[in-house]
Amino acid sequence: MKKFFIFLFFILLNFNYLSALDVKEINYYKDNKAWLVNDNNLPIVAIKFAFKAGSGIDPIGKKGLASMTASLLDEGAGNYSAKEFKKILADNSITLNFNVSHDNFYIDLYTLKENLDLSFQLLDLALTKPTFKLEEINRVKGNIKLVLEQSYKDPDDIGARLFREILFKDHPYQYDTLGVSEDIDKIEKKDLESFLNNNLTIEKLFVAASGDIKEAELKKYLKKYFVKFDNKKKVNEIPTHKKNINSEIFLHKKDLRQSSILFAGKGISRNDPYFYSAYVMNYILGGGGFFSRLTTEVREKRGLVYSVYSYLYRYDKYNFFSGGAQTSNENVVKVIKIIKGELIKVKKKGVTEEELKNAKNYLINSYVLRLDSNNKVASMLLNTQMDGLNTDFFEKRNDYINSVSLEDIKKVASRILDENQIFFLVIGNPTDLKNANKI
Amino acid sequence: MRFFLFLIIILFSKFAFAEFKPQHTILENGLEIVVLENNRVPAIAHSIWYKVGSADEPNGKSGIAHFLEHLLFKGTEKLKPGEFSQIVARNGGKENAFTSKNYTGYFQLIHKSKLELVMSLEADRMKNIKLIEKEFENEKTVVLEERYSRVDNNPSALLSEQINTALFMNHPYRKPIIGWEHEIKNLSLKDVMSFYEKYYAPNNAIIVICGDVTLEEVVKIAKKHFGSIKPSKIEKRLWTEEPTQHAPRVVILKSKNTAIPVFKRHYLVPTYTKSKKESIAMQVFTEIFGNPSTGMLFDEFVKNKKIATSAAAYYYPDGFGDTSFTISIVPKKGITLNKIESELNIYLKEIKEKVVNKDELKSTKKRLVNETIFAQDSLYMGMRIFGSSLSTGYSLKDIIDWSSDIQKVSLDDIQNILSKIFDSNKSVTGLLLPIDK
Repeated sequence: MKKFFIFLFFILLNFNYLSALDVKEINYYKDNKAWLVNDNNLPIVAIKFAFKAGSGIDPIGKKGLASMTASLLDEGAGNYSAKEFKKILADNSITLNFNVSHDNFYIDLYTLKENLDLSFQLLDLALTKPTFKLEEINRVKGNIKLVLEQSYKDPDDIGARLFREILFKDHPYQYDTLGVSEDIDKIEKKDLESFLNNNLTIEKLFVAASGDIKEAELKKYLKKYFVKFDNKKKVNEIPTHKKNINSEIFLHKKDLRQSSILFAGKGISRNDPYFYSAYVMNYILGGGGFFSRLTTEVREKRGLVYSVYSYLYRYDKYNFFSGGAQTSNENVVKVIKIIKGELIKVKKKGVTEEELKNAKNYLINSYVLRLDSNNKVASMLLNTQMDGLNTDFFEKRNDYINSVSLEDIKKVASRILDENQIFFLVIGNPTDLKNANKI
Repeated sequence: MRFFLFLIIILFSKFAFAEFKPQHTILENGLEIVVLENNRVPAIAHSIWYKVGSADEPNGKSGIAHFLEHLLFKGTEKLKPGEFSQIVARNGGKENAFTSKNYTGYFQLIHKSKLELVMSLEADRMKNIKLIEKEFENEKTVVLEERYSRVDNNPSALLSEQINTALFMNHPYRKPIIGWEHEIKNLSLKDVMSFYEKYYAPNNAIIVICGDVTLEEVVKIAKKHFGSIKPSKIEKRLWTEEPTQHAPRVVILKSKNTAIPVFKRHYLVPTYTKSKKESIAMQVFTEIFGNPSTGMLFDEFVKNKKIATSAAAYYYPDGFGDTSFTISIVPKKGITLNKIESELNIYLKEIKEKVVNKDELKSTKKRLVNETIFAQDSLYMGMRIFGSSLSTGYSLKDIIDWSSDIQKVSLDDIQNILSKIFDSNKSVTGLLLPIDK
């Protein structure tokens, strides 16, 4: 019987799913191009927009401006009150969200095809005629301040805040996208208006769509509603961030049943020739969830955690490698030691041929799973476009992964997994941690 | 859940499926199979649902169902611990599992050419898991760490656990799915294995597949791999029922680990399987009353009275016997939870006079029915909705008819359930109170 299993498991095909993804590039204005996958399996359209205008450009003293603007756009626009606006969206089953990251201002539209026209009208009202009623401004401010307070009380939120403070000290990325408590009340209606007027410009706009919409239709809508954002404003740039990470352990003492551990080190740029090597390496080390090296050593063999992971993260102006784990207070030192040990092992010895083969098989063959919903496809198109890649990326992506060699992984590991340039942050009440920097 | 799911989980109201065309069959050994064809991409969401969950656990052994879910990845006579997951991954699959009060489910998202592979793997672990004491003890600490992460370190989850135990005074739903810490610690390998042997059988399971396959293909492979597995004697679930409840209860949790006070009110109400008509009416009412951005509660507490930052209500129709209807309100800075409570009590006294708008009813029903279209926009959703419904007592017809059942709800139907929902003797009020050091 065992034979049968082996027979079945080792026939692996490299399916070329991605060539099936027919991405159209639509030049709707000057140099502006939108990407579209036309899929009429369902009468649904998903469109994602991103302007290069995130919380990273919030002015000093008004940290939280981008995010507050985004959360007020659907709180009344044109002749509609907040209540009416939300009711029209809900009654027509339109999802229209505005939110910001540190680098981007995102608009997320998800609707039935029959309501596409209405969706664009509402989107246009929100972007061009938001009411910014004082009552709504004050209400939203109250909500934001409450959530920001959590970052001094809730263990996960404390962790996220301190992590940013360590990694991004003296850079706009150090603040929560929601901003800073003291600044929230200083933000006024005119600030919100000038944020919209000055930062949402078509030169910094990316658009991606998936679903029951044709090229001509999308082009028509974009021309009608977005050409007006050709306002030639110079958007503030986020400064580059240079940070030398030292090998340190920071401790925020808190009386908890379990400690949370976060770590971070140098990352890799999307344009780096070794980007895919790093991507595959991270999958093997801590990205592959169920049997990565970290999960195998910390969870499966020793039962010390429920979750341990690593990932590569990219901001526009900074890249880093990071990860985390949660463990009982008495095991913190042990877990940090094992994590460090695994990083060093990969740096010194690389990975095995079998690990590399398995990783490639997963990363290539699982790609089809990213294509089963309009939202997933639109997100993938948007991200690829924002990475500065072309539509032919989807044909080449598997080859990039396939070409990663054992040697490449060793090379990139020696750059990223440097034990002298990784910090650990512990939130909790570890019993055995000495020589930590209190934070 | 074996691992955190990095997926957005939408609250499943009972979406419907007029457009889903489920195909169904039952093998001779009792294994049910449901296929939802979706040919958009050459992939499938393959799942198996066992009709056993935390409510089936023997007294004093809470956490077995979930613990067992973890152990199904720990090897069989043919596979080494962890090998299951490695095989799925190197074939390009994503997988996970989840345990609820009523069922335990396992799923893989994978290319359609791997259907036989995942079916053979599930067939193998239906009966053949093999455990050694060391693996078992290791996984026990993993489960304990999971409990600390999800519950003990999380004041809101801790409060929900306490509320739940107060709401169900006698029904096994009072136990937390993950189990009580002291009971998890005392579980033995024998306890877990006898639970496995008792409940994991073809006649206690449903295979649900959403994706680019036909029922015919699935049945052929299912017969090959599951066909020889003998059915077990599965006893009808006889759970202790709730007695008449005579008094409101209050649970207060004070925590240093949150800055945000929360007011919660849970009412004991019937599930879909207990009272179909009332449950359908409650689903419509919940949307009108509790939608977090357009509901009546939001209007009253956030917009009109301006004493809350959020206000919403939820209803979970799945299960057997009773379930909970939940109100959740976060007060504005400076407003006490007592103020929220007294305002809510006043508001609910006149609720009958407030639910009167026919247009509102019509548009709400349309919204709910539209959800059935969105539910088809991913393989995972269809699989998850059909699996969870079928393993909590819905028939296929119930699921398919959901849209038309929703359309039939009248204002009278809603009026008639209001006094049944808001019966304070069947309620638990939960308060989460931040405290400084």
